Amino acid sequence: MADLEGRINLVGSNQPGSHMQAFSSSDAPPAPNLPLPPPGAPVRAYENTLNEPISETIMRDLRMIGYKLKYVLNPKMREERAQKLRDWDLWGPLILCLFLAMILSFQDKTQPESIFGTIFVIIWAGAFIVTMNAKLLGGSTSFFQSVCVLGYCVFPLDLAALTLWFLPRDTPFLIRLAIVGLGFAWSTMSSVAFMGALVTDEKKVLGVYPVFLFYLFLAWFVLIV
Amino acid sequence: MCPLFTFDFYRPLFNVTTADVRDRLLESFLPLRSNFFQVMNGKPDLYGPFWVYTSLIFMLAAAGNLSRYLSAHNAEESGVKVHFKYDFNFVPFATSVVYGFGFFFPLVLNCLLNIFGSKTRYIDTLCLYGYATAVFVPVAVLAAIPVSILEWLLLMYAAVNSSLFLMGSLWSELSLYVDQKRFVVITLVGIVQFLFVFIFKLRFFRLIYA
Repeated sequence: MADLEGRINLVGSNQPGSHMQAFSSSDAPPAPNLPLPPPGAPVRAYENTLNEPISETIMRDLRMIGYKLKYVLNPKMREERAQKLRDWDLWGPLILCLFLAMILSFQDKTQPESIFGTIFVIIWAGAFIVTMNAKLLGGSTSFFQSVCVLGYCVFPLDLAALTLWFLPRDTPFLIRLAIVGLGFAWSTMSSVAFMGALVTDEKKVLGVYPVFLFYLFLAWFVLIV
Repeated sequence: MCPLFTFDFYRPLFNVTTADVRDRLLESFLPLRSNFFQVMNGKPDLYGPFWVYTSLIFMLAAAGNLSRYLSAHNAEESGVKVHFKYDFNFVPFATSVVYGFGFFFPLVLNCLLNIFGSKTRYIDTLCLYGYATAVFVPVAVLAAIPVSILEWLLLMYAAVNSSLFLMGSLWSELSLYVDQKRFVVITLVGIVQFLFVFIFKLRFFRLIYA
């Protein structure tokens, strides 16, 4: 856990909005497997994070999550900031997944547990399968990085599900379809930008189609519950 | 360590391009044009069968529910009171049927082929059968239209198309080795495909509100 903290820290210091701590020399060795920061750059010392208040830790993680969500929501950011996604985390996808599963299971009175379980399994198993597919096609990505992106791109469907929950009972089906369709298109386009870049051009459709199917499956659940 | 669980075992099975998959799908939709074993050209892929089966599962569950919804809607308009509830069990059922049949039947088929002397491997037969099932995917979508006779016709078309595709390739392959016994395999294939159709129609596209 501390190792993870150190890793998030080193990157956290480069993000906009996070305050820099004064550089303090430390005789603890740098965390293994991390690139060394350029000399002179302010960097949090490895040890400091153990002493900070918990609110600080939580706020930093929340900021990371918020930053990644902004990436999903904003198409313009995708091109130049893609490299920031390399520090994957699974908290964001977990929160979004739980959110979606809870909203959908609240709406169904007869079998809420089965819906909750199904959504959970679909999201995680689906992300796993889509990632394995990309890797088998020769894509070069870290496994968790891809699962992270797929998880974060569920966010528009979360919003769609939330919107549908607050609409009155007798909204015409077409309106509901339009809202879910919009969420689905948004999710898919955010993901495709990332997944399409993983495989060579001649296999691009092969890598992207499973992403499309994955969000279609989720969108269908959102629509019919 | 069992090679089945390593990543590298599966990598060569995904060594196809979009153009390859598109060509193979086209062959499957227009049967009897060539021998699929030759089209595969020694490069069978697992991508096609797996994603065809997965798409089919989703289409069956979605279109099956849509068909029930539309027929319930029609019934309501003609005054009958119905209570429609989405059947979520379509998903696990479709998963078992499609993955079960889809991975198990090619195993049986391959054993038969090997008994008759052919040198095909399981992956070749699986690839053949996977692409044969591809025609069911658009048919399942269209079968959402809640007209019973239309659904039967569409599903029969899919059965005939996939059977012809399978039979065409198996015939050419088997003609190299046996003569009369070909008919055993061909008939078995035909029976299984039509069995599929019956299962699909009676489970997913049953118009209980009609």
